[in-house]
Amino acid sequence: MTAGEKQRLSLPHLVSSEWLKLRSLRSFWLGAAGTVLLAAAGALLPALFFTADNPPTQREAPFVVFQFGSMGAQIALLVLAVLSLTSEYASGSIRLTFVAAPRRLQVIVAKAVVVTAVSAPLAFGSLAVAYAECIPTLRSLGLRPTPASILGALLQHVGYLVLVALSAFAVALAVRRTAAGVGIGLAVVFVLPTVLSLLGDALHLKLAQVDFSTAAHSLLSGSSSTRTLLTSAVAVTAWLAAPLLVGGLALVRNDA
Amino acid sequence: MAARCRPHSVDAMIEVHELTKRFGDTTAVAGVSFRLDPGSVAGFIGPNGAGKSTTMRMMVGLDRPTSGRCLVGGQPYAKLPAPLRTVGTHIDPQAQHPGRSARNHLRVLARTHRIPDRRADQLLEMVGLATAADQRIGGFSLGMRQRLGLASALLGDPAVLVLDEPANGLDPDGIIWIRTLLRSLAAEGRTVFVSSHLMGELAQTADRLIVLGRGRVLADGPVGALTARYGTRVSRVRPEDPAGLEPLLRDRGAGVTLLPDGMLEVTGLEPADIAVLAQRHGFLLFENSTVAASLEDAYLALTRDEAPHAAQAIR
Repeated sequence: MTAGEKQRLSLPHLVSSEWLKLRSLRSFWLGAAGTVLLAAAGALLPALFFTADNPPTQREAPFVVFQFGSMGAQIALLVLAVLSLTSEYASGSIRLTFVAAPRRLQVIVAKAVVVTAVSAPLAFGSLAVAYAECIPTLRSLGLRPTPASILGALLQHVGYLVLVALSAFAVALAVRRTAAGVGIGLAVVFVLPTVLSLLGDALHLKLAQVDFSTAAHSLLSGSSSTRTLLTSAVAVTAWLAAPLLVGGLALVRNDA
Repeated sequence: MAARCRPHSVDAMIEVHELTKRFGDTTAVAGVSFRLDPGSVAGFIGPNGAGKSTTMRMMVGLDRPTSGRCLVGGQPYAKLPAPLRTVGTHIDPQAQHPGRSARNHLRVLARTHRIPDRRADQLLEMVGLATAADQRIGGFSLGMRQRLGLASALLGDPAVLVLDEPANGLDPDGIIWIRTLLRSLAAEGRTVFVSSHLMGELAQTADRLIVLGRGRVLADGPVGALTARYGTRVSRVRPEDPAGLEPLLRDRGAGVTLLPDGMLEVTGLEPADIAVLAQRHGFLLFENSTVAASLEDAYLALTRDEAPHAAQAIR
């Protein structure tokens, strides 16, 4: 293979470029630090409020800790995922990206790969920190969950956080604005569950099942019925696919 | 220069055919066609809003043409297997992330084509930004951003360069530097396509000019030929009695401008005719010479009615 043939545009090269793009910005490292801090802050709640009067079960404990940890971490991961795309639109540097790599969908795939590859270890590390913070409280209550149950709960929540990051990235592709992307992303994970639950009660429909957070947790826990799992899989796919489709079409058809 | 070598062996010809771009009811570019051949600098000139940047953006796939096409070496830009190694583009000096260092800016682009990181350092040296390599771009002046943009364009050692107003914001040293650079790039066999508002710059740099007005090609040809064809020759006459000679010249159909120092600028009459007229009426002439037509004159003559944002004349 000649040097010229090696120096061609390809997906692995684009992924390498996108990874350098992300880590060469100070805001990325601030966001990464924010993910760990917010996960730790979220885990303070169970650390403070697990009491001898109302202790969680051995099985519940890691799930509760990771749930509170991921509530904090998802805010920072969501912002990072949105910024990975919208900061390029805001600075205009997306034009340079598309000059270097004119097949735009390939660029988006490379970015999505990097968002996934970055958010997974970041979620894993920050949730591990969150759990470590709660260990003294759990031990004082005589709770010693097995490593397998801790790892299972951890991986489930890491999966959830990766889905949140990908969902925020998809929204960012559709709206291309940081404020709108973060706003919609936060609304989907924090506001929509309550709205759909209330609406479902009023209409006597199981609307909460199609909420992104509920569906993602249900899908990843794998403990529900086959029908619920299928509904959850369809709901999560739809939440990811709809903004990707809208954003992808605009990307291909419009001027950069 | 150490950072440059022979361009990659691709057919560097660019063919723009009936390129048209409409934004709603506004036609920004209307059926523009030209061909760029290797080994020359082609200047792209026109008033603000003439469609130069839009044409260049369509050439590199940033804007979708309403109709028409641009082919680089026989294929559309988006189909090139290694775009940075074929066409080096510098369209907008502001399109650089302010939070990234100059070195990382180039490395990010280099990685897309597996170009070694050392190439970024070589180019920063070449464009005079080696000492600012680790500074964030947000603190760069326009001139520094232009230099970084040129480094980006040269990253893949391309056979074709498309540069939109690269001299804008450069200091006089920078302008001389870029003029030399563009000439040497063309001498290496590259195709250099450069837009500018600095007509003096293009006169000294370009081999050929494409003049655009209201989205249409108004003229296309060698600089000398365009200047000779569209530029107006002016005779500069210094008579003993300007006020006496002026009406005589006007009576002969000449255009006359009386300058504050008593000099007359005359168009429409040759110096010999002016001398004969002055001699017949007893006017003494201290000076009677012709000023060669300039590119600026030619440009103004071509685009006089083609500027969409023309300002009112200052009286």
